[in-house]
Amino acid sequence: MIKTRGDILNNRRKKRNKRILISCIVAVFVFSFFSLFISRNQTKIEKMFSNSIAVVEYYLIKKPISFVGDLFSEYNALKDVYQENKILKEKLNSYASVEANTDVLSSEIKKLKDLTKINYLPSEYKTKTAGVVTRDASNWNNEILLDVGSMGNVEEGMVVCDSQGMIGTISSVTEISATVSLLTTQNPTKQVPVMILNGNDTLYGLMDGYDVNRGYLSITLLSDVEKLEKNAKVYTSGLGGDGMSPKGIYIGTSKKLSVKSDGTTTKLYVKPAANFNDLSYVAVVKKVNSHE
Amino acid sequence: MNKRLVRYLLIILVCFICDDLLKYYLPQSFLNKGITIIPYLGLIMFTLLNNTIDEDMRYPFALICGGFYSLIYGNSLLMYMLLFVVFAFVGRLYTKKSKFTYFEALLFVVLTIFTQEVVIYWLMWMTKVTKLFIVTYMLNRLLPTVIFNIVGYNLVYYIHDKLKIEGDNNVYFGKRS
Repeated sequence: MIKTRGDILNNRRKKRNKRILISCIVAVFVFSFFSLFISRNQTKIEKMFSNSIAVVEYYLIKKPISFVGDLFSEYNALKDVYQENKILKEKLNSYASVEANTDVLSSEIKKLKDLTKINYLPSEYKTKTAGVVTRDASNWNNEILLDVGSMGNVEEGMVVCDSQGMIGTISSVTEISATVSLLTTQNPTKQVPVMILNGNDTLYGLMDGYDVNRGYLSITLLSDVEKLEKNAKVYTSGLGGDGMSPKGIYIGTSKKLSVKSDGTTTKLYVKPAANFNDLSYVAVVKKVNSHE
Repeated sequence: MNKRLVRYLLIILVCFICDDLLKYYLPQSFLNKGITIIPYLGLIMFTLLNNTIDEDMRYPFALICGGFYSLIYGNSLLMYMLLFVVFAFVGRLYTKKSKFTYFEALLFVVLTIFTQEVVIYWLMWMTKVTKLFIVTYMLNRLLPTVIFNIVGYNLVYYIHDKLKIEGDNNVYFGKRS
């Protein structure tokens, strides 16, 4: 069979295309292995650029749409106001005694502080409300972006909560935004010091990740424990670390205790209290300390 | 810069913004226990436009789209750029010069989304960003994403077909007017 010039050119093109396809596939594999050894985090410039675009997109598009959506949900909520008002009035009756008790306790704490010359307690903190600009669960890195930054006195390492409990810590800050690394990150860079209220005892540990297959936060216990109370509550301990997390921020309830086969490590699995399905408004917690 | 390339890039930008809006309002859980759906309208439109874009604009178009997606929405710069270039190359290699039919485009879009998801999951697994089991990943993320995007594909295909974004197809000269 006589090969024409067209056939020869066709064959050459096919071979070239095959080589390019193989090179692309090899490049994907090589880059994947290469990524194992280098950090995947964005550089500061990339983060600044992507955060700025995300904030602009939030204020131009998402916030107006949310405003319209909220109007409808508020209208629906108005219909339930009468019933809710009735329940709240009943609760108000017991509120007066709680308020009086709180006043007494606050006064005693103040007197104790004056006596011991302590200005701030480890559990004292201030909060700053922030809106969530992006919450991309598809991105694998379990981060959300807030609409406050260093201009709002937000710093790296600060704890972030929703109405029910802790959700994460601030991992990076720009002037107008802050990135929160959630507790559900499967490969965290920082450990959060925690305490577990076990009846009259307090146990201490380090929260070191999230077990995605069990759906629980994982804590390595530093204290010895023989028996753990069912649904023991877990809080931040305010000890160690970078000193940014105050004492007493609620994290969740303990569900399972697991001892390693050689008995060296005890792991506690905790069900998080925060609602990670709906993160719209959060509070950034700032520890009040003697450096203020 | 070529006017046609600018027009294509603006269309892709609008699609990426729609993706981001959908991600913001679709129910998502950071606990990875429920279903996670990722809209890929931008990738679908890229696949359709790649079929008809001029040869000399194909790879710059892919690089810009991939780079933009990586920088703004992704966390792995080179991988998305590489993936978009691979899609551009394979799209050109295995498709006819004439326009996609509905089912041809659907098949190609599903394969593209599947490839991107699997490659990114593999990269995340290799770099220990995730320890999600593959079966859980396929049931909770991959399958719902593909099904959702098949529905989204109909909208994108309709817009792409009716609005005649590329202009008229001159079959004798093989270029769009």
